[in-house]
Amino acid sequence: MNSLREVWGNRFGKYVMELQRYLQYVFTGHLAIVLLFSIGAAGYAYSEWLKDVPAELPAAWLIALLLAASTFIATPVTLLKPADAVYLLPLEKELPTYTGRALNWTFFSKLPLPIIVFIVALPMLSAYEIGSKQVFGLLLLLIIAAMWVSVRTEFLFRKANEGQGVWQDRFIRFVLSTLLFYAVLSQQWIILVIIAIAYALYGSLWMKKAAVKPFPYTHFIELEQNRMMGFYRFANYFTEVPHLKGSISKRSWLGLFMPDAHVERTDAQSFLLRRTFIRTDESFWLWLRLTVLSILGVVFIPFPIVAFVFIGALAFASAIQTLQTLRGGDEFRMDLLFPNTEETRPKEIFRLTERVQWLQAGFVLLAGLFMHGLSVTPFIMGAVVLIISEATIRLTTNKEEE
Amino acid sequence: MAILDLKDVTGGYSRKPVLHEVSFNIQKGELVGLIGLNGAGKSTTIKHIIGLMNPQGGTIEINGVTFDEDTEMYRKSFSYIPETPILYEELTLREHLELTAMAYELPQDVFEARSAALLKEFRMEKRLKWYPSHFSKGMRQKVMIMCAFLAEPALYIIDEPFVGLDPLGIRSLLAQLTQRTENGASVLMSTHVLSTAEKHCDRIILLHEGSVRAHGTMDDLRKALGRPEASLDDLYIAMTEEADYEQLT
Repeated sequence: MNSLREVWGNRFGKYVMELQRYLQYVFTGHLAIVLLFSIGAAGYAYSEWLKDVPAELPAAWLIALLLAASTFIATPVTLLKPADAVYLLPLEKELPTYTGRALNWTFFSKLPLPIIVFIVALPMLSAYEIGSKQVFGLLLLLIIAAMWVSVRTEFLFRKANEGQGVWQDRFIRFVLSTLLFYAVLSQQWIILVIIAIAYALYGSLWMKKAAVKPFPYTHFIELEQNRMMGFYRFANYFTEVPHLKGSISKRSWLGLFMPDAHVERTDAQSFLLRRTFIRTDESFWLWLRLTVLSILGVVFIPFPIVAFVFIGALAFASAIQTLQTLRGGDEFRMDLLFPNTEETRPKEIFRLTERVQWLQAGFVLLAGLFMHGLSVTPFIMGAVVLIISEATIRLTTNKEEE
Repeated sequence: MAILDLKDVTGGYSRKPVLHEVSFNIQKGELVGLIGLNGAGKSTTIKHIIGLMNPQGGTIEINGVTFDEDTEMYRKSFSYIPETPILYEELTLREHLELTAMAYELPQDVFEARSAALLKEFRMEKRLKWYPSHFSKGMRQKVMIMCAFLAEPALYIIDEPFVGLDPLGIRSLLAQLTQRTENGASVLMSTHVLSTAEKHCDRIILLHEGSVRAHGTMDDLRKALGRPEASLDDLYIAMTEEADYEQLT
């Protein structure tokens, strides 16, 4: 068998490839331009603000809080897989070879955030005349140390408690980090030494507690799966992610749209698809987001022509995504065996997509009436959503049938 | 007329067939066991029967109708319990039952009566509002079983039904199967639990490397394999060893 060092190396290589695979879709040209402009605008606003900073602002505390906030969440990236609960079980003594590398990666992957906060904070510290070059150098060293200790302590805490109560640990580290960074910025060296010792003792306490506990594979595997699923959900906003498991929420507040069934009168596919649409987070939130964006477009875009194009594009995206989600993948579903499935399912998908798009058109119309009063513009806006949605649904359905 | 009739069915996932001219039938009220090693072709046979795969050759009839002749009638004639429970994560237990009742066009009162009896039998009455994410594997299997039994079709096709079920669940399932065959329904059951198959099945089909190696009652199989006192376990092992020996020579 490969050594655990090689196992980590192989997994890390594949993990980086997986990240690259999806990030290329996330950071497309459009998003890069948006980010560039947003960062530029924020930088300009910040530099303007620095020219005349409010004197009463507790700058040292604020920066200490921001730095602590950027270091205290240190969820370990272990790249563990479900099968490890079986295959790595006999290798528990050698596991630190693997977890050590995992924690090193976690540390380096999380370090950029506090470093960025530190760099951004430097002009503010100068503006408030806090610290000196030596203090800034020490602060940087302590940020790196706090991140390193945080990564290891959170891992040890999770190991000792099987992941239970991790926010208690995070809260304690957040408080300690805030005090530590404030002590440096306010140059209170005795307090700094006391806090640093307290921090080290806190870390060593969990080292001792974790040493006598078996490795909680289930917790770390679940944690890793949730972390990756979060990434896939994010990537799914930009491209299709095949292995994304949709999460489900009851959404009983939408019970009006999911009336109790009367088995003789309700159509099976209509019953199923309504619940699939409303209770599947992916489809529901996507539709809602696009509808809210359409409404915001109607409210904030001052030129009607631009607003028409904007809400038309969103209606197209909303209709096509709803169709795709309702159609589902290639996986076996029990309704594939139902009598009449071939005739009724496509019709119901068509009908439900049409209805949710009508609803979107209704919201757009109401927003238009609110903004423009009783005039032609709001009705054109509603009509744009309806026409684009209908065309998308019909053309997509015809294409599939061909 | 046979409820299920397979004639010379050849099929598989690619051009190279997994099933080779498989023929057998199931009569009204029969419980037939489909037995074979892993990879023998049991699940592939079932996928062909339920219409998820098209045979490359031969015919499959349920109640005298092929899938292509009348898909709706064909599908109404059977219900299927897969080896791995497949549920809708977005539906509660009650909604699964309701969905099945709608699909098989059950009257409301019939649905209420049948579902109440099944929920009691499988001790799931208190879990009607639960979503599948809260179910254990055994409970998920029970939901599949209840949905299949709710429809009361002419044929039940059951793939490895005992996996994940607790002893009470197994007893309930066997009681239901007995009751339904007594009422005239037929069952095709693929299983590795040979002692149960020997005890409950009217006939056994031994599938080996995609072909029917032997079929009949336990007595027929004992005669065919020349082992008058053998259990199904013994016959099964003898058959596979004999087949492997034949292949080697």
